[in-house]
Amino acid sequence: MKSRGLTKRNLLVAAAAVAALAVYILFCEYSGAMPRCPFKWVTELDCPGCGSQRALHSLLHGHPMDAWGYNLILPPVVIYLMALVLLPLWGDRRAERIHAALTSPAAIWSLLGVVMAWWVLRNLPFMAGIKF
Amino acid sequence: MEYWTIIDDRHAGPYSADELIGMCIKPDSPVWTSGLPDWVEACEIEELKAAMEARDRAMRPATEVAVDEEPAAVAEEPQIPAVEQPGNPVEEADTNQPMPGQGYGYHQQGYYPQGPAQQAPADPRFAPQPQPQPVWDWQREAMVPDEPCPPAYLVWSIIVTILCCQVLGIAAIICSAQTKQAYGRGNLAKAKKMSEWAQWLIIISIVLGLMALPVQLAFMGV
Repeated sequence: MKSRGLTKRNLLVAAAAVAALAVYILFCEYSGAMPRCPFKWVTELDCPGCGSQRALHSLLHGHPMDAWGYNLILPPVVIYLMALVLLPLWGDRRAERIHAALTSPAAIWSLLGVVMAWWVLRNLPFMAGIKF
Repeated sequence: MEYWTIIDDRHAGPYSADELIGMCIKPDSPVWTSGLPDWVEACEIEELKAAMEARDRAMRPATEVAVDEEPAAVAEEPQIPAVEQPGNPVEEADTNQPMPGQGYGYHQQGYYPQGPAQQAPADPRFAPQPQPQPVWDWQREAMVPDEPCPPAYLVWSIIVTILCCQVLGIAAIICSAQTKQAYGRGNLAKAKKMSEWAQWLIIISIVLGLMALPVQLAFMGV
């Protein structure tokens, strides 16, 4: 089963590449070309994803430690997402098992718990002065 | 001789002649035994006819009323579990149900949970022998979903929530989890519904995010 041309998979890969390129070139703290978080815009609080674009930009430029500083949960989430996308392409029994474990209800609920905890934590006053 | 009869529209048997008489069969009850091409009325079989006449003779001297009440007694009689015969040749002649081992969807007993517990008849003489009971496909589908899990859109939910800063994405993650959970519990209908919800929440988040862009640019430009 080799896929050629305009298959869903190839389109996704192309879209991911374009998005990565856009993040690589455009998004940085000073360019101002980043879409702003609507939640932060309205409430002036951070949402769980705030800083993710700057963090991705840092990651793509090879500064993982800066990425941590912008958004603490972004690097693990990126690894998790890559596992979700890449494991099914492996086509191996063990990869299938790992993928099933990663997408089990328990895994998704814990992810949700981590995201919610991060949302609350990052908006607490004492977090403002802490840099990772 | 062993006989089959029809109770509550289902084949029941095998019973001996004595058992059939004890079950208050009537002269026009349908009966089948091996060698017959089709169902016949009980009075057409010599052995049963003689037995029924003997029964009627035994009851008449008691009271005349008892004979009149006989049909009501038949109706109130505890249900005798009707056991479908996997190897019963009647089914070939009489019904369109697929035969075991031939065609689709034959499952042995114990493989899937059975229905409500069978009511045991009071008289041990009528207790049916334990026999493998077929479970047909329509029953199985209601219990164990055969279809693959509907898409949970987990990757998109996370992208929307974390990478695109959309708070609605959290609701999409919840729907993803519910999709997987409902599927795991065999509730395919709920899984499908939650999958659709996740999809719509993601689409709405993306559209909202795109709509917010020009508004934000306009405000920043001022």
